[in-house]
Amino acid sequence: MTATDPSMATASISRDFRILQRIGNHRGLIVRIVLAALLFMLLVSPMVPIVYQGFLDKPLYDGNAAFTLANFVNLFADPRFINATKNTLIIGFIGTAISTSVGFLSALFLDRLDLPFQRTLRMMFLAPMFLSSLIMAFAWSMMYSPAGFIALWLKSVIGFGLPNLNSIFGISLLAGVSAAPVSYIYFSAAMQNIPNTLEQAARAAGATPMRAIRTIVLPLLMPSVLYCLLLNFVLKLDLLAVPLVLGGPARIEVLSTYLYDKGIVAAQVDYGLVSAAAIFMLILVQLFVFAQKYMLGDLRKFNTIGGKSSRQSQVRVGLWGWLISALVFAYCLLTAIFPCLFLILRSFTSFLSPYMPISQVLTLDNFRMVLGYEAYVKSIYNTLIIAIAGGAVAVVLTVVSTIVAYRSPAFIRSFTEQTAFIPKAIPGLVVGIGIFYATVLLPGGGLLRGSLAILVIAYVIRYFPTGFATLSPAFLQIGEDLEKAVRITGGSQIRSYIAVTMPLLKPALLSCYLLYFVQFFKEYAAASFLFGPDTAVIGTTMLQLNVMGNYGPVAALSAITLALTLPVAIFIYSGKKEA
Amino acid sequence: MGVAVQLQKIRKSYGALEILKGLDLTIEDGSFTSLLGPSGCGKTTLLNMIGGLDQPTTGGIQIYSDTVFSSTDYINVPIERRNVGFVFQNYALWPHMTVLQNVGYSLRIRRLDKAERERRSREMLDRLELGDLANRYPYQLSGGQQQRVAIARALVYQPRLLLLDEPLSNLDAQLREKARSWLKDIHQNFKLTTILVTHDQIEALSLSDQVVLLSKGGIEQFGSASEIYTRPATAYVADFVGGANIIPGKLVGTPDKGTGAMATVETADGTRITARSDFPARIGADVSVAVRPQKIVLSGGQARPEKSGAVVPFKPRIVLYQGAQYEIVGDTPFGSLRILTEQPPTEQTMASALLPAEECLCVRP
Repeated sequence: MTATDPSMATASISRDFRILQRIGNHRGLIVRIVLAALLFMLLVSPMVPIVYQGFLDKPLYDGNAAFTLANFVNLFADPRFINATKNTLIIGFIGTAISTSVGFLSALFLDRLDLPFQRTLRMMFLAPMFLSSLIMAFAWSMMYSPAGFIALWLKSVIGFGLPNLNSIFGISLLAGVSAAPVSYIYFSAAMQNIPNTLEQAARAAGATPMRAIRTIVLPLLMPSVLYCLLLNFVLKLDLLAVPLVLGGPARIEVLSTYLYDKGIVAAQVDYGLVSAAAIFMLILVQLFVFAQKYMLGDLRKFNTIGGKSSRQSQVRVGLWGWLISALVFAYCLLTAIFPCLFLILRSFTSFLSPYMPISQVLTLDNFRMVLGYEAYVKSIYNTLIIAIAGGAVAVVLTVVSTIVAYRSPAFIRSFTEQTAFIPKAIPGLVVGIGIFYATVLLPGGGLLRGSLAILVIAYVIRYFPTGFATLSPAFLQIGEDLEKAVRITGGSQIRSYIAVTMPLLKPALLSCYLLYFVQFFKEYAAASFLFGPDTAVIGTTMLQLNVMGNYGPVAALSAITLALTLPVAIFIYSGKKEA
Repeated sequence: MGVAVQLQKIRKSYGALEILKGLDLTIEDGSFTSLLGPSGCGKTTLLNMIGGLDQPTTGGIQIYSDTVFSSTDYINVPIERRNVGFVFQNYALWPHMTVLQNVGYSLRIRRLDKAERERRSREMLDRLELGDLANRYPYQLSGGQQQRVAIARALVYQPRLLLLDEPLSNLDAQLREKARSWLKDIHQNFKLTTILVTHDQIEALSLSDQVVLLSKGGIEQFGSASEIYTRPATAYVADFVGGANIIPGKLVGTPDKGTGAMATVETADGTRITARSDFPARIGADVSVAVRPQKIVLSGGQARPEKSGAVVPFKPRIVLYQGAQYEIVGDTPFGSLRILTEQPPTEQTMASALLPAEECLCVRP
């Protein structure tokens, strides 16, 4: 027998071949596992360096840093932090109560009652969704704050002004109002998921329309209400502009402004303290997530069997309808329309006061100043590039993730689904800080820090859960059989996605893109930690101008933003009409 | 017997699209009536109108001589004041309430105190053999149990009518047969006027005293189950209920009660078929002959011609073995015929088909 027995050799070759073949058979699966893991790494990347830094006594780039708990000790010893936490909780609770109840009532009014001008009112109510809370904060401040136009005008006419907007309640009010449209959408969708027959069954049993809504629809909305409360609370934690603009003059500090001040404004940034505060915010959010899950118990009690989704019947309310419509209209006028119109008017004047005729103050100087200063123009360009190109990147990532999630074995599916919603519980500021620290840790991070890419990464992480939630229902509706049909005729897996899945997803892809576009255009909180001299965005520029007291250019930038987002908003609305 | 439901000139249109084309219907007290028809015929719309979930464009509805809807008098009594029981296709059990709470809901609205509510609900559940499930939630029930709870919920407040919208369509075949006899039982026990919407002819025939066959927004035929099956008025009814071969032709000989002569129909190719006829028609009128596939005999030319309506040459195309019977599809001079037979067919017997005169029915085309 020779050492190289030909039969032995063939056996080993064929064994190698079989192994290769087996890998080949599982290639799709391996690719999916790798992609799911990459997604996980991307979405947790902001948290890891923060937690790491939270327990270090020196900045994390310092080689001599050692483990410590001193950061937390210092944090809780800081009276400013304790005060900020108190304010945050108060604003969070009041603001959440306002936005949830306004959103809930408006969903009830605008969807379930037969009101005059319903469509128009619905559009007016939802419109502020496209506005960044930064613009709302400026507009409200210029109108309703003690030195604002309306307050001064009222004082001159009736002798006293408005309650002070630069207060904890003022901040809560605007925070609540600006999140009301999101709550509305949330409740509206939840109500549509309750089959009409459940209500009709109650009617047949003898219940009046209102009673049917109260005893059947409302209890079934409980999970949505609790989820909406949570969502709103996280939104309030996240809010930077409102407390910064409204709370600044009154020196009211919340956790986000505390982080902003300690992490950006301060001359000597205490990395450990900032991380500890960020960890505290993360834990706070997790506590609320846990509470929500605990309160709902067995969710199946609320699951409705999907019947034919017929149109929801609307309750006739007769003359009351006019009163309710008038109320909703007044609400829209006072909270959004007047402030925005005022902001636009302000952008064309050098100074606005009830004591001075407008004709004397009209000017284009504000726009000249904004457009004449290269850094400001650049920030507009940057915002557009991030919204347009970054939005596209985000859509690609979302599509790949949904494919990985919903065309894979169950364990990958549940892993990806859970991964996708991780950033929901990370406040925007914390994402910004985390990404910043990550670039400090990683080699080549410096290069990233100077480019717009870092902003795109932060924004994608921040809004990924929302985009994923927009795309996945549409994706789930496309049966896997359609793709299998392509494969049976000889197409590859990738080809089946391109030939069948993508075309069918087109409307969902478009709305997903528009969602990213609008959010990326609005976002500033995550950017405020990350922007450099060449990578400012409109929001960060406005914040800087505000600090310098240049309200005219702030108004001009707001007007430009309105002009740029309005067409997108109208496009989204007109698209909805067709559907 | 009194009148339970009276429908007058019920019309429903969405713009130019007419769903119901002005139909009249009287449903008797204590009867079990089925609204039968293919999807899109307007049967569910009609049921919803009686219940108050939908309104006719014009027309009038009376329930036990209360006008609940009238387009001329602008009357539209809301659902909750019609006092009818409604069972939805997907049962529409309230998922956040237990079985007992589901059943007790209507009594709560009627302001019964807690003890009385529970007593009546439990009594109803016991009558429907659901007593053990009182504290379960709907998600903990099987499909059949959900259906029974839905019926208990609709019966507990002693409604004037029980309206059922395809209540059996969500059950699997075996359970459906059980539920069918169970429904019949309920009707006999409660003696409650019941209206059932279904697209399943067996369900309609086996359950109901009266069947309303709807097609394209109008009533094709209204009669007892056996009338509908044995004396279909139109070709459509004959085919929809039980299935039939429809042979178009012209009437060439009218029936005569005195002599006992039957009607004669001539097909386009000149074949004459002797058939029963229940409706008056003039010589030369367009009619159809309906004959059920299981009644046609493959005779091979050896039949007694005096009892036959027609004997025609037959060319089989497809023979399907179905266990209990054979299904044979083939051609005759006047078109294709479908035949069901228990006898194993041979080439010889399949050479010609005999249409027995008693089984041939002259109907409106």
